[in-house]
Amino acid sequence: MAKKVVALIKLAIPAGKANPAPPIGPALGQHGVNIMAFCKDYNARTAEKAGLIVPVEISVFEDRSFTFILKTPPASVLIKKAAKIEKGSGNPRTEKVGSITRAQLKEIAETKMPDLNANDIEMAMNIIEGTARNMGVEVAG
Amino acid sequence: MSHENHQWWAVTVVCPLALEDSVYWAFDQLGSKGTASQKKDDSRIVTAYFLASQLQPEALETFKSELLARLEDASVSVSWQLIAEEDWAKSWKRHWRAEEVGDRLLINPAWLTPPDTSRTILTLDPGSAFGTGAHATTQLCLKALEKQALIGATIADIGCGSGILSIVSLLYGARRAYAADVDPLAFSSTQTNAQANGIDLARLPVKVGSLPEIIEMAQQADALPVDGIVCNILSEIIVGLIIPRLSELAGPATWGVLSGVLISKAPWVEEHLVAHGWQVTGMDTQDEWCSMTIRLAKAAPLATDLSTAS
Repeated sequence: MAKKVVALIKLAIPAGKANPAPPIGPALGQHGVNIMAFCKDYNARTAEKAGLIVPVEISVFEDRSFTFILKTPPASVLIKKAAKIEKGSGNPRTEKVGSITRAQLKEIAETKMPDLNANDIEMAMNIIEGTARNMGVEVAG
Repeated sequence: MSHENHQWWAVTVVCPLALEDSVYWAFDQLGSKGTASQKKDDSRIVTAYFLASQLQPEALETFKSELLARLEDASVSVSWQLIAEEDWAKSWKRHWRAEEVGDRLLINPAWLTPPDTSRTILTLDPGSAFGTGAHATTQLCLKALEKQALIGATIADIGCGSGILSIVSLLYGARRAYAADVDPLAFSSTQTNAQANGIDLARLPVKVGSLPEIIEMAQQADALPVDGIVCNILSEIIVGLIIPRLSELAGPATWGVLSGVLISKAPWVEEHLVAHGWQVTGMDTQDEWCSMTIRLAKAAPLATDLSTAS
């Protein structure tokens, strides 16, 4: 049945650990969404991805019911993993904290492609490279 | 611990879509536990929350100036406001009220004490995307059910969702309802809601599936033909998958209520019903939706193949 979507909310949260605290509580509560039902469903569907950030896009309908789809992890999380770093740079223009190869960049761009507003892989790589630069991570090669 | 004692900074960054992950990273570096974002035109509005006791306003000023310098995009804006902590696990419920539907029913959220009423009370604990009774197509079905003879009846509920139509039928006196939905979550949702209304699950057999599973359940229980059929699914599914086999559930006295049909598609659905031996005996509308009450026609079905018509 085609219900009207009144809000589309994306949350970037740790897999298997959803709870009513921010950002989930304030983001969903204002729309009357049953927060515990969402947390239970999200945690059940992401239990096997513990330790990862698994964004979720939630459609809230006019009757306050909802559905959600899982999205790809944030590029920064994938870059951090590929560069094997914990912290980004305080001043990314002058201080570099790590690097990834062009092959890693392409791999991340391919992973993120479904969620990027990019026409092709080159454009997706440009977006990811921009994120890496903002983190103080260089792309080598 | 009192929730009112805490305050949170809701820090919001408006940025182009391509910078969303960079903003996520910046928030992560500031110690956020996650972000919420919404699309607005070509921009994203990304919000992260920090306990006010753990982050001083000066730190937010530093965050803002560093982020703006880092992103080098004039369209990016950063703002913040204090919000009071609530018990968010419960506060969403204040958006819900008991709701009267039709002439006989009152839908009451499970956490509210029902008002004094002579109406039949349906208790629902709303969850994921299943019928909560608020949608026009569900209300049309519920109103149509009021007009049917349900005492002792056997019902088939195709696409049961939360089980709302089966449960209301049983509350109105039906003997048993056979329910199915292709979404596995509907199975547990239907059972949970049945129990919330004191319904013995033996009266509401439910399966993951659709019409074939209902036919199978009813056949095994020697319950064919059923007395009533309810089906609140989009008309494309009704026409493509339901109507061709619907008469397998039915006898001369069986009635059916089809909802989920856009008014503009009603003639198309009726055409297919007629071609498969059904007649539309009643129709009701709400918003852009309609429900159709149907019975098997006395004459033999037409042989016309409408499978490619639209």
